[in-house]
Amino acid sequence: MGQNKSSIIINRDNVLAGKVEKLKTCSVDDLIERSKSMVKEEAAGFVDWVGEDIDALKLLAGKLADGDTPQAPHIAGIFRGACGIRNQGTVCDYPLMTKVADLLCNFVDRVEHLGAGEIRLVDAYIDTLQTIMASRIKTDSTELAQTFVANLETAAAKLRGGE
Amino acid sequence: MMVITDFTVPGAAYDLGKLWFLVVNENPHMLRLLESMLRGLGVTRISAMRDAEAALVPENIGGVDIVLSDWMLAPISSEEFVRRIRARKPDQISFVPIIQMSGSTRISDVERLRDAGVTEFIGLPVSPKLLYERIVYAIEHPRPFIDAPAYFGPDRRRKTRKTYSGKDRRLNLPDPVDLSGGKTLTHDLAKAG
Repeated sequence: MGQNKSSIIINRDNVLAGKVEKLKTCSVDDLIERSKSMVKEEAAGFVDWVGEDIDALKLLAGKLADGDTPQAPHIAGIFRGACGIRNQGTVCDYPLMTKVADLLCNFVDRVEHLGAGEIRLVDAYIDTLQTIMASRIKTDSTELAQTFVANLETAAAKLRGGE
Repeated sequence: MMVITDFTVPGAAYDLGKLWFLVVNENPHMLRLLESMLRGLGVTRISAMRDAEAALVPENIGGVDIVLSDWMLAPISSEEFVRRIRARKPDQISFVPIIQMSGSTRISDVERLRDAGVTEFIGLPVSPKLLYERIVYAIEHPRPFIDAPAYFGPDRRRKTRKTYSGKDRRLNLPDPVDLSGGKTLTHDLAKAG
């Protein structure tokens, strides 16, 4: 057995604890509220910048039908872009955006090739994101929002279910 | 009789103003949101990087107190990013707490990152509350480091399983090494059982 099985457990000084102390006048709740408020300020530009992210998704989706290049890198790019929108949607208080982006993430996660029908569905996901952004639909609880989601879920189930 | 007057408010927050954060996220918008979140929590020193490879350059990472890393990095993977930080042992930076944001629900993804040397995880979407809690956890519960042939990083065992019935190979080991005293001890796991 040439393998060295030695293992060392190292306990170090708590460097972080040495650099922080409790604030005298600010509670955890106050601090979190302040952070939320700063995020809200930053998130005010969400609908403007998410348009760039959706355009990037459209560009990648447009390349899927191009038979000359492998699809995998484009699909991976769509996955990353959709995951980004999903995370920002929640932080910026756009839960419907998060929901649809999440469906798109799941649809393309670890997929290497998409057929014609699946590419059309990817386009539909992206168009839905664009509609949500253009109409500034925040909530995922309205009938319209639920219809968007239900239609996309049904289409995905049909494609993946082989119907 | 000595009277101690503590003017600290109930549930007082930590002053994070002296901690230096390195935030690595490919998405520029998310990066800005995370910066705002941290600034709101009182962090004043933040290095925000989109390029994970560039973030590893000593001028960018040397001296940071906490790394906040996304699960999808570029041009190297988040796993590679974490491994390369831990591979710098015995440099101080190899011990840095790495808080990993993860949008994956797959246990295998989390295990891969844990085995690369991640300290704490935050499930996405992140919120100021979640982020603050993870930072405080890293401050209040520093993990011992394990230096083994196939792994260098924080102890991956989070809790002792009460139902575990197998051999506890660390049970008869000497106390962990306290580097603050300048001592080092080597535990031979093969001998320990």
